[in-house]
Amino acid sequence: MKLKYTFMINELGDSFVAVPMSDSLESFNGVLKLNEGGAFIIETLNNEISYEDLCAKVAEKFSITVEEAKENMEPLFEKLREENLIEE
Amino acid sequence: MIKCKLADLNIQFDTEYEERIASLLCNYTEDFSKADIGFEITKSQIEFEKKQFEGESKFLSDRLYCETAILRKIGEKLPDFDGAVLHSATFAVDGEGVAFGALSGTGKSTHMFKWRDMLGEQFQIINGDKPFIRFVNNELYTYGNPWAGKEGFQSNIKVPLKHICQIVRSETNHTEPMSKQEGINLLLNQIYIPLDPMVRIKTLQLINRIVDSVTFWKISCNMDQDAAKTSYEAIFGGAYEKT
Repeated sequence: MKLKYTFMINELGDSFVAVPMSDSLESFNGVLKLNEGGAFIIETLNNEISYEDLCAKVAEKFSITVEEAKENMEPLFEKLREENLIEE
Repeated sequence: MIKCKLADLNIQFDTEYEERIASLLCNYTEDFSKADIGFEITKSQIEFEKKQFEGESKFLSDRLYCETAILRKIGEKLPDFDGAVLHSATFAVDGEGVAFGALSGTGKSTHMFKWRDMLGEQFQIINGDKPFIRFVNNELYTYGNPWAGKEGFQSNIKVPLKHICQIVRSETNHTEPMSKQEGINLLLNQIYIPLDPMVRIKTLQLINRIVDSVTFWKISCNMDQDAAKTSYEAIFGGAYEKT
């Protein structure tokens, strides 16, 4: 799976904002407000990766279990599916 | 061809509704030889604005869609000039700019009118809905323009913008400073985020500059008469006494 558009991550204060780098007016026209974990996930999803590999990468990056990674990732994935931003 | 000065920028554009748009911009028209921003409003841009209102019950005329398209065009260009459109009710107190931001219907105009009624001549409206903001010589200014909401309160003036406030309905009146992160979150909701990706990134960079230039406040307020006095005293310090 991967994101439908390439997102560029920008630091804004203590948090991050992901901007879709698409000039199509039909695409997602907002920005994604993210914490450090969300920014890492979005950056990783700019390239094709399996869900299991993504969970493993997140677990390794943040020193948590794969189960904890899956649980923490779920709200962001819900948002990505809601906005039709992900190709699974 | 319509020529006007907005946010200290020479702006010119073509539209098929020239006569009516000229009337909208009558306090802002200015002749110049060189434009900072130039564009044309096309039918496809008007159709784009109509799509944004699809599903809502209100019907707007093509002229009003055209006005919205013009504002969007300016909003897309302003970040190239260190500026943006800020959805807020903005005014000046003794020449110092204050912006009230909140979701539509929360009461930012209502609270602004309480300040107006309390301050009298010390108060001057900038724009009741979508003022421009812009850094000029490293100072952040707020500017009036004709996109001023249904009441149409606006003045063709500019003042340094010093305070950005989030208005929240509350049972009691109290005002506290907000952190820079809270200010960023407020700005992300209130600043126009352009459609062009590279201009979006410029807008985010602008937000980083704004948070270092203003003080952010959270105004929790009710409809009581002293709601304005409470927030004024928190922001400007001291006890308010009518002069």
